[in-house]
Amino acid sequence: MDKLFDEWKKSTPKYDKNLEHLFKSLTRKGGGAETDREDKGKIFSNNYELYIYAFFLGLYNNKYEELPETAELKDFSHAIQYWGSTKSALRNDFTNIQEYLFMAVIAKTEGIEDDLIELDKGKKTVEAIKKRLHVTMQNYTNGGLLLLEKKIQEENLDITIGTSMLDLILQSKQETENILSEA
Amino acid sequence: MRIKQVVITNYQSYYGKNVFDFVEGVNIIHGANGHGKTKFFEAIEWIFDDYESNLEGLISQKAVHNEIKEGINVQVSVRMTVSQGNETKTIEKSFIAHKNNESISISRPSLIGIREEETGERYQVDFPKELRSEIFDERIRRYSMFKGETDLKVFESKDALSTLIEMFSDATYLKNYIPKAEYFVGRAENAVTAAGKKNAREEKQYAILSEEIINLRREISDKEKERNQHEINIDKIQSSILKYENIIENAESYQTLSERIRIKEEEISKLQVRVRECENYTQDLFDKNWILVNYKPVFEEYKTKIANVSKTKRRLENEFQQKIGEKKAIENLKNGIIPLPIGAPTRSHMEEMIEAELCKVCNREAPKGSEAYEFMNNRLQEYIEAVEKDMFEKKQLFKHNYINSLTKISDSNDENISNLIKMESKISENFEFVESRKADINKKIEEREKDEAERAKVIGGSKIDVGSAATILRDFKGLNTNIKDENTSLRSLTNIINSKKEKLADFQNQKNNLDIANVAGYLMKTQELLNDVLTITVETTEKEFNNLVIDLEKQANEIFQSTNEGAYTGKIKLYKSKRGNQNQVEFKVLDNFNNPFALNGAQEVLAHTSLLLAISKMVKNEANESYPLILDAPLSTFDSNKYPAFFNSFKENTDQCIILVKDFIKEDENKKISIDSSFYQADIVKDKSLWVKLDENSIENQIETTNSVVIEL
Repeated sequence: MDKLFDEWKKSTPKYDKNLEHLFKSLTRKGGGAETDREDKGKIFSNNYELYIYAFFLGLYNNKYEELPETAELKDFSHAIQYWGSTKSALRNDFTNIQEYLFMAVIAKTEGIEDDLIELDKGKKTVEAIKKRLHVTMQNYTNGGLLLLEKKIQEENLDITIGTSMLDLILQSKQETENILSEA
Repeated sequence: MRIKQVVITNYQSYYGKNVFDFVEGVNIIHGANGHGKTKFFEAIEWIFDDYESNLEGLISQKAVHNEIKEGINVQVSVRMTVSQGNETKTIEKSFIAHKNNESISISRPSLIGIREEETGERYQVDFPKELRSEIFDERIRRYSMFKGETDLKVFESKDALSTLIEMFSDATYLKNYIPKAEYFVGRAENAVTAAGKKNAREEKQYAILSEEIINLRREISDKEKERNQHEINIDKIQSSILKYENIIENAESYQTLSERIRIKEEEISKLQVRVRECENYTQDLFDKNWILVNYKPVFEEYKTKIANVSKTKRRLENEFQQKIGEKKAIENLKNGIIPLPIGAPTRSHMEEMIEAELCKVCNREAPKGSEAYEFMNNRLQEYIEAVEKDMFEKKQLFKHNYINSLTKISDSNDENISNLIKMESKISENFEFVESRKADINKKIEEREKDEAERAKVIGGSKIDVGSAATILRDFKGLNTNIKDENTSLRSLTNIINSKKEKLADFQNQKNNLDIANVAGYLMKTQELLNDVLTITVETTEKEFNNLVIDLEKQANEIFQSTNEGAYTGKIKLYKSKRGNQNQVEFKVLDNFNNPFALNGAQEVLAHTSLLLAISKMVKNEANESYPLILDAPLSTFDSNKYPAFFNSFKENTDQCIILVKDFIKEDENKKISIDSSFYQADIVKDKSLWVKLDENSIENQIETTNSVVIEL
């Protein structure tokens, strides 16, 4: 069967290199380095956690920020299909989130309906669809990253507080509801 | 003995004649480093020193430079005048230096002793060394003159103290009689035994008895030694326990509280672990999918979108099929309704409904021949045709089925989404859980603190922290176990000794009966008397020594406490032990738990000087004479606030002391030195103060120009 999701998750989305500092300061790269002193206070175990977080943060707050055309794009060479497969004594597997990401980008990609019809007709390639979906994903993530940057830099969000990241997500609910009621 | 005067002439930095007059009480000699303090001390030492070396080095360089010329003699001398008893005694050591063909030749040092009796009669003694020992016996001098702080550590030698104590023990002279007494006791016994043996009839029995008695005595003596050791141990442990009990008024309640605290701590740490597990909020965004908390509207959007696409696709498909088979399509397109896709309901379902003549979709009867029946039949035919048609006619609008896969995702997640709705309450449950556990932790911490405060009360007013309290209790328990063991051993030894003594008494009775029958009464009495003498001698000597040690320790502690002005600095402990027949006394400073107390430099000096002063007092008591203490620069580790107590302890515990200090000297901007006004504070006791300083005409680094002068303040 033709599974768009399976195709989509083989790819790796990108982000604006200008926001790389967020990845450097908020994530513990390479795992296992949790005891490293430099990593104290880093709150995401790896880059894709921050990526997922930023995407949802952007999504829930409706922050769709198009990447500047001139932006230099970066990725962390880790395809979506591996995201969340970190089962260990301390962590649970959360690969199921991949599907939610996928549904969200489908839901939020305007006019994707026509493309999907064209895809089934064979008039558009999977690649073309994926490209469109990635734009959506990257732009929400970009929005989320910018929002996070603003919260930290301008609103003095104390990231060392354990609930800081969760709180931002919980606060977004209000945002989502406001947006919905406006709509 | 009092030092009245010291005159130093041309000795080291003292050029010409320098007179130091001293009084009873505290004499303080100030002197900056290099100004002649230590030279004064060494000058006194030199009088008592018989090993002569480098005499040339002792001559004042200024004297060498200014005085020594061909034919002129320069005398180098140190003279000390003391009063002792009712006499005045002077001892002078000197040598003559003169120039001989550009080199300096030096005469052998000579010692002169002058005795001035109470009557005023004054004469030079024939044996000045004897007079010198009379003035300041070497053994006493060892505990009277100290250069620097390290010298004071002489007390750390076990033999040093016992020698000194023995020297002043009243019973020392008795000690000499012990071997004699032992000898005579032995002789008397032999005489009695020999007399007893004379009766041949009982000789064999007598020999056995004598043998048994000797053996039993030896055994008893061995056992008594052993018992004695246990008694000493018990004493030591007992005194430790007493100290502990001061701290741990109630060991039982201490233990109960400690156990309660331990359990609380365990509970707290368990709770903390649980809280930590629940506080991985960022991690749980992923691991527990909390990040999907707001996802529901997104999913709805997806679902709607995909449903619409699917619908569009089917419509398009239908329209496409319509174009292929217009006629058929028109038939099918009733009222513009988009039919279900071909194959829905499935072929088997359709066949089932036709057979039952019932439409199970709308639950209406469809008897054979009815319109509904025909509709179902046609639809089945249509499907069969379509399937067959597909086999040869592959023409289709859609080549792929991606949209279908998207629908499937939507369908399969329908159920999961209902869980997302519950997510928010799960998160707040987690928060509530964490909060309530935290409240539990705080409550437990409060309870623990209460217990700790109570335990602190049990520990008492000591400065022991709670951490070391655990060690204390463990030690305390250990001590209690030890003392139980020791007491058990003691009891069993006492029983053994008693039974042996009974046996001995029995044997002795038997032997005595034989002796009475055979030996003259006077011999028996002599033996008894000699036995008594031996016992008295041994016991008195031992007791006297012990008393002195106990007294010395008490005195030293009193002085030590008073110099420390209430601060807790441990206790001086003198441990008496025996090596062979030789007594040993060990000096230690211990805390309340008999662990070595860590003293800082100043405290160590105070501990040593306290013992020193106690010795000085003991000497005074025992020898009926006091000796001056001379200390050179013992205060380098001192804070100035310690001085009053330090000097005061000397004032109170000695008749005379000479303390050389580098303190209380200040230098102004012109490098003029003077005695600091703080020295004249009323709380610094001194009966006399002198100041040794380099003469103002001395030029630095030109030793031939320098000389110390002594100024009375």
